[in-house]
Amino acid sequence: MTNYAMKIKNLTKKYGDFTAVKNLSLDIEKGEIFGLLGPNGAGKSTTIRTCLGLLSKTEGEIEILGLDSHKDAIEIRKRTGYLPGEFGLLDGISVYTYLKYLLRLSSVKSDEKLKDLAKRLDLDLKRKTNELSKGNKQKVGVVQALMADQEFIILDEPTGGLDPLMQQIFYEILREEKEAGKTVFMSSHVLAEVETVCNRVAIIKEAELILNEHISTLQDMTGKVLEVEFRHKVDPSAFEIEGVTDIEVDDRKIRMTVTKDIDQVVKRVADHRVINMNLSTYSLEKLFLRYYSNGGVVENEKEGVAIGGGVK
Amino acid sequence: MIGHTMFMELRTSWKGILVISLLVLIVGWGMVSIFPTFQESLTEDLEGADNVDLVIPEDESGELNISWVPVKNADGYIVLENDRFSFDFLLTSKLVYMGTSTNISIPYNSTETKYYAIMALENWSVIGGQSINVTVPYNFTDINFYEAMNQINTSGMIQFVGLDTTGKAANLFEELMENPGYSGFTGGRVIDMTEIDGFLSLELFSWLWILVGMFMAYFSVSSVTSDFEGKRMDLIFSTPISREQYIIEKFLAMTAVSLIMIFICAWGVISGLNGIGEIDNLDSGTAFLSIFTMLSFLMIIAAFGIFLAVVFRSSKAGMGINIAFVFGSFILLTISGFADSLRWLKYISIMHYWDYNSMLLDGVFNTGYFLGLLVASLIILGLAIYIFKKRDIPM
Repeated sequence: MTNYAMKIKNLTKKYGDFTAVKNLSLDIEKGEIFGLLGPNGAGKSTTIRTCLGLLSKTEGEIEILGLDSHKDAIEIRKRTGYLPGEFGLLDGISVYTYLKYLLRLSSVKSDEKLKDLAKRLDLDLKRKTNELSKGNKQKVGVVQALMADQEFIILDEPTGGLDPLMQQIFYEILREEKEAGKTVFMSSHVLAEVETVCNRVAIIKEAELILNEHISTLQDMTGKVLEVEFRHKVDPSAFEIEGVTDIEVDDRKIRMTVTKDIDQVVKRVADHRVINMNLSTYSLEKLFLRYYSNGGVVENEKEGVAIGGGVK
Repeated sequence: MIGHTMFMELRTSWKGILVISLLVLIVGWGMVSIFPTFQESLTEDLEGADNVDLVIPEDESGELNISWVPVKNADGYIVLENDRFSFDFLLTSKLVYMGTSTNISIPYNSTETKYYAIMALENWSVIGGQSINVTVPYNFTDINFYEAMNQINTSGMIQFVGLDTTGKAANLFEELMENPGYSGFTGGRVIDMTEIDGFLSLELFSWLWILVGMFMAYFSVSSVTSDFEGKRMDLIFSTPISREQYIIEKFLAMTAVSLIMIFICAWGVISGLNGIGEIDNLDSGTAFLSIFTMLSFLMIIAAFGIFLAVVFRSSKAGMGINIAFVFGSFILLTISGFADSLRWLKYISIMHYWDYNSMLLDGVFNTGYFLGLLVASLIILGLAIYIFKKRDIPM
């Protein structure tokens, strides 16, 4: 019995000369919520759709739930829920009729979870599919991805179009799924979202994977920001010790990033007279920006969602 | 699990299916119901034909003998000749006789159908009769005809005696059958339109393809392209349905729609036959099977439509080509009748293999052609599945 929900090895997907995903390797352990982060057009959806067999892979191997993504595609889809990044609904029928139809295709008889999810997300099942707003349509997508109660859930930009309140409810549902032993693989271009719900994150940029870490490791790695206001000017060289980086001096204020033991730093601060002090967790934001530079960030800032757009 | 996608296709398209079903019902029932009126108009005697006796010579060089029942008080007759029977008969006719006899012989041309109208003149002798002989030229125009009529009417009366023709009204349709444009459809048969089966062959079946064929050309393509264009493929293929099952279910939905159209058309036709009392001449089994031959014709359009849909993934391209395919088949079949050297063209037209005439006219179901089309459509469907399985589903 494998411990991985999904193993991607050297995946490459090309469209003619264009490489959408380049030599990507990724392991997703059972029971985790894994976030695939990246700007628009980085190859997140392509990766996901290749895993599900909607696209054929150019090179590489994909194993989902111990099964070959190509050979056992049907069996994999039986056990996997999927929310596409972009999707349409059949017109002219009720939301319930449509969801029930998809549920039947998955050979699931009980619609209990469907109804429960709809209730929690405040989705009216009697509405006609063509009368739905963007947000409500997204709710239909979320419900259909989770309603068959499958062990592996793949979500492509799941919160797009959901209002902040609904996002919170959605995160809550995801955590419950995790507690129930499900594995979640989600893509996002919203950093705060990934930080909120995922326990591991990979960053993909221009078709290539550039980072793959546990959120906690990342947070440890990026450390905390310590900001101290002194009575008098202080020589910043006093803080140039191991584990302290990015020292900035602003008149009597010194700002620094502490990634290791904070004890030494605090003791050195204590050598001087302190007026005010502030210690904050370094958000992934900076890290994100560092990896995102040239292109990705600018685009996401324009959309106004990527950086700090999520709700905490 | 099987059947849900097929059922969904039917459910979401019910409006279109309802409309086409109604059309097919109206056409099937309506065409049959028109038949008695049509038949009557074909076999109806020309006005006053009983009063006229036309003796057509057996050999071509003989003379045509026309005699008619004398009219009381009439003291003269005129005979007008025309090559068609029309509203402006009097104006475009040729005067072939004027005089007191009730029995004439005139030159006869066996290659032309002529109509003869006989009119009686009353009291024309009062003005001497000779004046008419003088003033009406042999080939008169409308103006001098009216002048002559005026002269007659100053003192006398003109009365219509009767009209008859050297041809038979039904012959007109036989001539039509020899028209190259039609012979493609009839396979060179002479179809008697005065019988219900012949009438249906030409007036219902020969153009029913426009209704059902075009509908199927559109419906089959859009059943798949709408899932592409509506971005529904991802949701469908997130469920454990295989691509071949998806295609097969779409094809089964098309089959179901075809059967619906066939049954409703048959219902319309058979109830029409009952309504006009022709059911003895065309029994319901034969009528149904004749309509049923349509199935494999529709299946090949459906399979080709699905094939086009997975190749082009665009409604516009797919429908355009599929409609051209159906229409092109019709054109090929028509052209194939134009000349013997073009006869082979019919073999590449799918419409040729929709052989309703064998069943309708001879009572023989053409199983070979029927199954041939069915097998061809399954091959095309297999090709569609192969391509669909191979290719990526675009976002």
